[in-house]
Amino acid sequence: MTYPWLTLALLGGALACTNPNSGTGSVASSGDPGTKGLHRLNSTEYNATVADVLGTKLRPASSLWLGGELDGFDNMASVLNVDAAQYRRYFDAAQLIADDVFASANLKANVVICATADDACVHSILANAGLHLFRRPLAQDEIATYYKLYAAARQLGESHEGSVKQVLRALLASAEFIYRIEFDPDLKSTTKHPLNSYELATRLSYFLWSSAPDDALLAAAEDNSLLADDTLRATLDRMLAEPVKSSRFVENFAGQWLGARKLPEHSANPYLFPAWSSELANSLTQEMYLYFGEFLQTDRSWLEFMTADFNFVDPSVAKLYGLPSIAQAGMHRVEITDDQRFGFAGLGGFLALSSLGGRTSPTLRGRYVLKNLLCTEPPKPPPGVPTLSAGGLNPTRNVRAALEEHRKDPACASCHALFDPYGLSLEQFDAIGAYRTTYFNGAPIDPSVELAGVTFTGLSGLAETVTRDPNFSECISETLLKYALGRPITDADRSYLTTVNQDWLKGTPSIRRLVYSLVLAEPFRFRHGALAQ
Amino acid sequence: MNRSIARRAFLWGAGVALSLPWLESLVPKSAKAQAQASVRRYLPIYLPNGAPELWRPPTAGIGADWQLSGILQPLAPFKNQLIVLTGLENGTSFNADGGSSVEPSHGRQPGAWLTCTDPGVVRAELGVAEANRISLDQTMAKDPNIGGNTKLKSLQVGLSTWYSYCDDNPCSNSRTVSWSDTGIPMYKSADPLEVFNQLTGATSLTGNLQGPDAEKRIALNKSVLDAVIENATRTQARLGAADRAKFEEFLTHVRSVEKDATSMSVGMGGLACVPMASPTTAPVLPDMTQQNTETYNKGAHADIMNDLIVMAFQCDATRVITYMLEDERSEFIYGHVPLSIFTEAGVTPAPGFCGEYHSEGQHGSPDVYASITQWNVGKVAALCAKLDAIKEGDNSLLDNSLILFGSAMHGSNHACNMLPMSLIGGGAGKLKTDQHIVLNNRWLRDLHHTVMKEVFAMSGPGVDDFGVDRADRPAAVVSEILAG
Repeated sequence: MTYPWLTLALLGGALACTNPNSGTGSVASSGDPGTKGLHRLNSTEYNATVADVLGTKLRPASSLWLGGELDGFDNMASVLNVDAAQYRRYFDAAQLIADDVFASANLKANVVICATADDACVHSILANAGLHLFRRPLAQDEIATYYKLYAAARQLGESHEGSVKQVLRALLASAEFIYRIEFDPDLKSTTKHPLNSYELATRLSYFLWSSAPDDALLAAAEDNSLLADDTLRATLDRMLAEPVKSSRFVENFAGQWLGARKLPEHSANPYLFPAWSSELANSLTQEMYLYFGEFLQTDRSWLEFMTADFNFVDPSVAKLYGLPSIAQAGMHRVEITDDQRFGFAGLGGFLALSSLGGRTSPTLRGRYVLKNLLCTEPPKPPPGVPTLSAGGLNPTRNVRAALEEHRKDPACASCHALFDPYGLSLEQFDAIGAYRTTYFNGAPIDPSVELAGVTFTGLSGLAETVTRDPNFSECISETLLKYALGRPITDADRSYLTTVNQDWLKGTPSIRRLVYSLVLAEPFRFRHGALAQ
Repeated sequence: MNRSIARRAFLWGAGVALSLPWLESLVPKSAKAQAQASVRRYLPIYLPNGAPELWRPPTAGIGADWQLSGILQPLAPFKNQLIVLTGLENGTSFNADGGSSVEPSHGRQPGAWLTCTDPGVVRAELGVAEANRISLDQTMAKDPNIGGNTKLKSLQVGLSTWYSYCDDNPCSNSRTVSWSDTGIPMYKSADPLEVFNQLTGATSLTGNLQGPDAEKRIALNKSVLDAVIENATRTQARLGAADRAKFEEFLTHVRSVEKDATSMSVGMGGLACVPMASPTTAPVLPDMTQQNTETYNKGAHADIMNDLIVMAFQCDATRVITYMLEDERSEFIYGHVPLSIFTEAGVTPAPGFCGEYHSEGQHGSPDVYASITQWNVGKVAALCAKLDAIKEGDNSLLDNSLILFGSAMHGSNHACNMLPMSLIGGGAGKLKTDQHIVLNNRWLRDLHHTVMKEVFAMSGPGVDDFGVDRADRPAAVVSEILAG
């Protein structure tokens, strides 16, 4: 990961005022690619970045660190700010990480890349560390700023290494590390312009790896090859093939979109559902990741997401699913087609997440399907609406009957009719995802429903109905674009999304093809400046 | 004794950021009387998820004419320092017609608890994803007579483990109640060690800046932060207006850390100040835990946060603290709280324990809801007991403080009226305490206005025009709470 400082410093100076624009796909359309302010690394990205760049095993950022969520994701630029307490955390973490890196000869060697301690050596150290932490080459004056710190530390009696350690502290405590910053060449203009190659590399790596660009990405940025469509596609393939790093995409994108990230902490009433445990919750979380991951890695059609008949099970999940028992620990891929379970809506993780601790909630399941899978916002409950008692005390009754009682009120009925049927069709799966045919009180379960004049029954009916809904395939592209950009979708994005959808749905609509389409589209590769309000 | 006074005097001279705590022996009688005459501290304590109907005392009245409800029973020792307020509403902050429906309720209502402004309107006006008007506590923190001289102008703490839902709104609406004068959310810290370090000026990992090589470490810290500031200042010039402003705030925070990281930490001292030990044995906070575990204990978490608040006030490290007992729409499982049955007649223990705060409490069993609420009231009462045990002149810390304790939401109906609210503490003699007041749908802004104008004697811009402007509803004093 060494780069001769001279080349880089020169390039860095040039980058400040040019926008390499050699990509064939960078032909400007009449659309508006949008803008985005400073983008602070969230806790997940911070931890992944320091792990990847510096090799530390420390994970300083916790949920106690300042965060913000918008539109269901924690990587949205506009709600990631820094306050006084948070800066103190950065400052402390910088010390902690620097101590850790310098305590290990191996890790230290990646930072202290020369020992001669002359000007050229120090410059190359600064340029190298700066490139990786700021995700772009440092400009000359930036090198000078951190060089001054190195010199001051030497003056105070620190060794060469000790002084480099102070520089590392400073880089980690710098705004240019903490924030991803995209520059606009003309602050007085709102005309769109392509991102420079380093900015593009940074967008890509935080999109698919939740982390900083690696050496190969930085090299493709340095020679601008990254700006060409073909290189870009090949780069995406390479990035998705990195198992550890691309698993972060699954966990952070699918984990938030589909809720799996909350599953390990989901609870169920231990008296009603003695099978539920944190181990089972973890296994079901893994299954959700693996299930989504298979669509990502094998280029399976997204339109099979609701119907594909494979599962990932360990002994506890197999038991929950009523499958033949498995002796060996760990997740096993199984294809069992003669049972009642298939598709995403058959995953125990989804079924538990969309239930209350003591019983199923067709309303919650229905809202989940409508919101998360079809990107349709359910209407807000009207004022003063009476709530269906959550049944913490009487979980044994017939949920369907109780809900029907509740829906006798016409004010409630009109809304519930929009989403409850999805949930009611899944009543044959209990609050932790086990298959059942009766309620606790012995009443039989009727999974047939009517939604907007169409009737369907059970899991298979639901899977078919959702898959047929055009919102289903458009929902993932909209959600993925939002996640990729780290900003909410605007009206201007819609026209781009129309094109993207036409493109990726043309052939086999795999997630990979969607990623290609989105990354090649203008909102990902262009931006415009934001004038003062 | 002389020695320590001399040291204090020296520290003052050296411009140390900690202000002097209440030094009883040094203060002449007249000044003491004056200090007692003005309330010194403000502590809004936020109860999430509203409260059950049985929160309200059965009758309105003063003194012997009113009794606490079962849920409020833990506050019995402080009944003579308590005002329960029924009939406050905050729908007017959202709806011009004062309508009490504000949906999604959890995701929006807390945002106006201390601002009396709909954050959504501010966001739309500014075209940004997150904004609000300044909150009451921050208005006070800015006032030189209140927040002015203390080490921290204000402090935001809470007990969250972040197992909560934001209901499609910016999480700042439901996970903080403090907003800066630039409308930026000021999130609470839930980490006791972090709060301790904030109060004492230690940085957790750089440690206390004392010892033989302290001067060198201070010099290194300064060089590190100088580099950060120099680079950020240069970068700032290349940014658009909005990002430039963000950088300005960033630089303010860097400078504030620089102040701590480059001065000998004095810790906290003074005659009335008994600093607690650094809470290294505090419950470790695992990410997003949903219930008590081997390493997380909500009760212990609350106790240590109470101690930190007491220390902050006692040592005069700050005079304005907001304290969230939980995030709004918390789904934390209160499995550690035994279930009781609540009726008009009283409270009787029942077998079993509580469950999820929102799903199984607010939306489920009224008894689970009431039991969890009463547990939280108990933690507030424990804090009151500690504050009341510390004397400041002739008064107690509690007498010289004003606690606003309540919620932004009514109860299970999610309405923005009939808010469960109370004032605790003497307000330094400004309040007519030991009352249950029933108001007729009175806007919460009137209460905030009264606290600022009448209790804290504040005035001027930011005070007179606090909250959203409703032309037909000029701010008015809630005279019922004031002493004669």
